[in-house]
Amino acid sequence: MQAFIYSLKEGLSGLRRAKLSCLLSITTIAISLILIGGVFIITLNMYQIVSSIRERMELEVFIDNSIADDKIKEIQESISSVYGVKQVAYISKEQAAEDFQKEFKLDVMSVLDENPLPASFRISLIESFRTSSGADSIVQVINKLPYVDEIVYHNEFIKLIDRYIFAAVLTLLIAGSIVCIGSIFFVYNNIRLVIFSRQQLISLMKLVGATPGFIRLPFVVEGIIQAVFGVAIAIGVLYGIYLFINKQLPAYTTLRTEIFGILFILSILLGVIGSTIAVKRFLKY
Amino acid sequence: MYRHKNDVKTQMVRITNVRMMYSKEDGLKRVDLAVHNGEFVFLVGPSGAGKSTVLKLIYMDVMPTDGLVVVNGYNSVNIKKREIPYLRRKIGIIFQDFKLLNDRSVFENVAFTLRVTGTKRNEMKKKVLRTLADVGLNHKRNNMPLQLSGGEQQRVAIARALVNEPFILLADEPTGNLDDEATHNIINVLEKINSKGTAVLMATHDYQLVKNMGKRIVRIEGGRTLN
Repeated sequence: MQAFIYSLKEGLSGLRRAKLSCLLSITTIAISLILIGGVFIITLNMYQIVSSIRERMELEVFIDNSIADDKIKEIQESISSVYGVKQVAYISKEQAAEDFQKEFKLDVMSVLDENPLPASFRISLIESFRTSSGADSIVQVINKLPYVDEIVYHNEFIKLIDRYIFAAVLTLLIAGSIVCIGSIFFVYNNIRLVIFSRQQLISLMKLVGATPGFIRLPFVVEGIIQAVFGVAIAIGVLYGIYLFINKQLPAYTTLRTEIFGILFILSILLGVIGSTIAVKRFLKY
Repeated sequence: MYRHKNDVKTQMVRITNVRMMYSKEDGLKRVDLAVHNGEFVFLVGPSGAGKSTVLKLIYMDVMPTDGLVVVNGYNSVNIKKREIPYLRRKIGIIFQDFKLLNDRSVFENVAFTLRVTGTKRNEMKKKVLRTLADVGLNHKRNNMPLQLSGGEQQRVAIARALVNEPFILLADEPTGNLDDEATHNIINVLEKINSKGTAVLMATHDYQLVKNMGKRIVRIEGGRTLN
């Protein structure tokens, strides 16, 4: 306990004594976490946007115009039973005409005397099938069902999303890894510089019989304190940027508090691991 | 002074037939040295003779290539790395350049030894004040090291080395940076400490300084101790 209180005091006074290097450490940690957090938030938002586009992904199955009403239920059931189909909604000819009128402000009956619009089923898919290949596989099965005339879906658009998502995830993954490795190196190097400047203190501690654990503890405490300040700044900046972008694009931006939790844990780890490794080479007896 | 010569039991420090290699060159060729309980010994030799290395062997900052070093029951062959801090708590060390922490007060510099060994607050305060009184610096306890003269700074270093009540004080050219008056003052302080029972091993290049003091003198030259 005595040792812990000493370490806490020593860690705090270490910060006070070396204000500049401490400020540098905090800035380093803050910048690293802003970059890491930025990658997290961009990934999250991209995922959300793509999910919401995919959620709206529908297949439209048109059926034979001459079909009797009692068959419709039967077809609906067989479509529903296809694996990957989430929901099937029936759009009757009348409903289609109504939708047409709503959309184009034109009564199709008054122009053509009869309703040429076919009845259809609107199919939504379960999440894992909301990809180009997933949709294709379902289309193949439904195409084989009787009375199915035509299936319409935005295959090209889905393919485009799939391709770009892959490229974007890859880019973010690479960028994220580089930022992460860079941050660890950045923070480690900075802590090493700080410790290097206090070599005299460490060698004196060794000389008067301090144990390695005891010598390490104030540096670890200092690392944690710096990490807490760094993460606070990073969270503030990230939240500010988020609020700014959210004001411009409220429908497309989202933020989860878990990200801040992850950043907090990451910063503590950065502080503890960084200072432990950095002090290690000065602790050899 | 030679009364302990053959009494191994009273030898707190014993260096036997030690050779010490520094990057393929012999730092020490053959060193034999014993310091008895409560003894005052001068280790005298020119610069580069190996005096500092001998002191480092005693506080186990370096280990011998050949031979044996036994200090307060620990020996260089068997000692574990984690035991070295505990050995050092029983050894006081002072240097030519004082090695004080200039951003802390005199009191804090002396208390430093006790803080890192986990001494309780009350006990620490008592010990620090008593040790500062022993070296005659109680009135300067709130000063910063750089506000003191060289001799006073060395006395702070001595207090820091003594506060943990070591069995031996190792002094590596402690008067090297001091004028004559301060030098004699420091020697007096060391004698006073020795008279209270702490052994002192002082390394110096200045034979003239120590030859008439009536203490045992061990000469070291070219990495060899001479009898």
